[in-house]
Amino acid sequence: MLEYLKYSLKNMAQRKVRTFLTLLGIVIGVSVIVSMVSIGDGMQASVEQQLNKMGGDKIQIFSGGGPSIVQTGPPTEAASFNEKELAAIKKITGVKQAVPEFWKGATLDYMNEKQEAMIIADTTEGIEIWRETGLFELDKGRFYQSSESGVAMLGHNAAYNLFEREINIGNDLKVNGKKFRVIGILKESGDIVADKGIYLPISVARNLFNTNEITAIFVVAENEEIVLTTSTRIEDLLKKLRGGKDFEIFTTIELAEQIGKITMIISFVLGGIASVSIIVGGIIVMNTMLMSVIERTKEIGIMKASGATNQIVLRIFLFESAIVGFIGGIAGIALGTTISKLIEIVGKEYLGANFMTLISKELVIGALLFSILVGSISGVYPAFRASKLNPVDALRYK
Amino acid sequence: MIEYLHLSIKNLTNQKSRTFLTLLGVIIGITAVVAMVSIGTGMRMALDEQVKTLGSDKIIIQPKQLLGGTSTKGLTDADSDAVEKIVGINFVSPMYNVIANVKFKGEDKTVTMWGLSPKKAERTFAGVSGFKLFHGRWLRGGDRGKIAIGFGIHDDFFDRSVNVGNNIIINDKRFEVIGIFSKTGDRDNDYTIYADIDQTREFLEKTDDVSVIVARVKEGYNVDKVGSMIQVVLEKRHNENDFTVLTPSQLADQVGQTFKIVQIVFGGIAAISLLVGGIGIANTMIMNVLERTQEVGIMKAIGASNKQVITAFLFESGVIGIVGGSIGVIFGFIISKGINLAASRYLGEGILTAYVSPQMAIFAITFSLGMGIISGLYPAYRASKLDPIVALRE
Repeated sequence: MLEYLKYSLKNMAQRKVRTFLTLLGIVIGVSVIVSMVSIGDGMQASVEQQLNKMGGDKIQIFSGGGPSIVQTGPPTEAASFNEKELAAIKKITGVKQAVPEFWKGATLDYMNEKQEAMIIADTTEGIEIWRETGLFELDKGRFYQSSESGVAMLGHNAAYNLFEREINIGNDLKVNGKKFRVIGILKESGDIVADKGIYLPISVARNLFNTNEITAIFVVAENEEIVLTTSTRIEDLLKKLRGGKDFEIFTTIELAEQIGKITMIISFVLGGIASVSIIVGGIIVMNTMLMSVIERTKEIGIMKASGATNQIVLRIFLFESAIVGFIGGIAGIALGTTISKLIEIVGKEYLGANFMTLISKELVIGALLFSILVGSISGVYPAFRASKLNPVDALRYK
Repeated sequence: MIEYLHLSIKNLTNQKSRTFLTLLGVIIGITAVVAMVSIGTGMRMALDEQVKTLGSDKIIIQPKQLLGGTSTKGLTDADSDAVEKIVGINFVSPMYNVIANVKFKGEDKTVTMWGLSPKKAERTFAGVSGFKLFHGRWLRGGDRGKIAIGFGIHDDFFDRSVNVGNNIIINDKRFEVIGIFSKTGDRDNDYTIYADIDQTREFLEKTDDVSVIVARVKEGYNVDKVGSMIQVVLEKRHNENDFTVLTPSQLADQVGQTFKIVQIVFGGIAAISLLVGGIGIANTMIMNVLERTQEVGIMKAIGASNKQVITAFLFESGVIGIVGGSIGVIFGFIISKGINLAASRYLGEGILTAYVSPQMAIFAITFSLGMGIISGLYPAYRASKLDPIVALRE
């Protein structure tokens, strides 16, 4: 074994430029796969982190006009929920808490600069639930009380990045023309909408639009085991009350599964396109090995003349190409990790603090095995050709 | 020139398996790039097609959509009337679209329902290819309890087909089907129910809300200019910019931008395999130079200049590039056809299309040629620097 290794390395070191180029092909191929798959895996991990914080006992219900994952087609209106529906949900077995939320786009005016932002309005009870998840923490100031009016809290980016000038505790700003004093600023949650939101007590927000609408209902189930059956019960009840399913209902688990599917497709597509480069890299390995076999024809003749079996010759050349795969794989993983870190830095800047890339143990091992496999497969034909050389002809070869 | 080509081809065919493998690397790279980019191009063309179907004289006005889909204050009938009065506007069609729960023969489903003002819609959409009745008649002003349906609703939305004269229960109210539209191929249109705007508003207890206004520009007027006029008029009425005005060119730009990003990302990742293919060319050329050391020595001994030696080797790597590129484009074309076939079968018509444009094909071949030449630079330089005496002694 060790002898094979020594022999392979010696041969590779003899042809430096060729070995370098051959390795480079594999290195680039592996690094692209590693960095691309790390994007998909990172998305998955980031979502899981968020959803774990959220807790498996939560159910979110959105009316048609509420937030959705994908939106296509022309704008549509949908009936929001009402107090009667909320009260009915609260009575369902398995529901521990159900709180109303009101979401609406609004124009903020700070020092005569106007910007759009989402009003996210909760009750005190709702705020308590969100606080327990750890996704809703104060950076400065305090939370509002349900009974207060004329006060608002701001998401991290709404306060610090949305306007030319930073907004601070005690500053006033106008929401759709009405004055509000900022009493609290939240920590960055990583959610783009939430970080750019303005938070008002629900009664105040509804007054602002002169409505009694409930955009979304946030439900806490008694425990995680019954969350799915509870969600089905809520869905059935709402369908009956509303005459059909014109709303979206998600448990944290279902949401995780759905998003998991999407990120898996992303990993798969990106990794798939990236794999093309390693295949091309494998072709270079094959080419180099073929050349090696031709160059070493005489050497092979001597080996065979001095008693080496076909199998030994085959193993020597296969070993050499596997080594190329191994070394290329290691270097590719190192390069891929670096690229993945760079993507993460750029991604955090443009896509929000929640963007991350993840290089899992499975990815590293998988990439290395794949690279060795590509090297070995590429070596099969050249090694076979070497093993089949006739020693007499080989010795005569110039 | 011809001699160089002749020499290159002779040398390349001398080493069949090596040339084949090197070509294969380039072919795979070009195929991947062409196939990936063709998806983006195809999507852009499909979009242009859609804009054309709607007509290049339509302007769409809607409340500003924030992330997450919740809109701002919204538009009203009065806004629609104000737009109609703008110079250059022919007709406007205000709409109020709702998500509706529909029941037909015991089956419960949810569908998008467009509330339109029948007369106004008829005038605004006249000539639009999707606005053609297949059966029955179009709505009339004040038609209560009547609906027209898209072809998909008639055909396969419910287990049983819905026909003119049938009744559908929508949000617990009975509606009679009076017209069926011809098939458009666009899901948004085919699976839609059309009713009088007041009927859809009643569902949500609204009186004059509008969710989208489509305005038709008079012939001879500049659509983009009329669009900015609408912007000005509405901004004055609302005191703020809480709506978006989309002209066909803006719409194409907006969505086209997204496709471009997809194209760049996918094409970029695929291009890396092409880079690896280039490394393959360099590798092969270095081996060729090495093998032909003696030959180079002879060339130089009988008077070939350094430049001639370089040209000979660059020609060889260029040939690999151009041949690989051409074959790659052909394969890329075949794959893009395959994507179209698979997408229309498994995803439905018009969702994913791929198209290889002539520019793309020419660009890919030129790029491949350039890459071949660049990959050949170092090996050719090495060959030209060989000392003829040493080379001959090899």
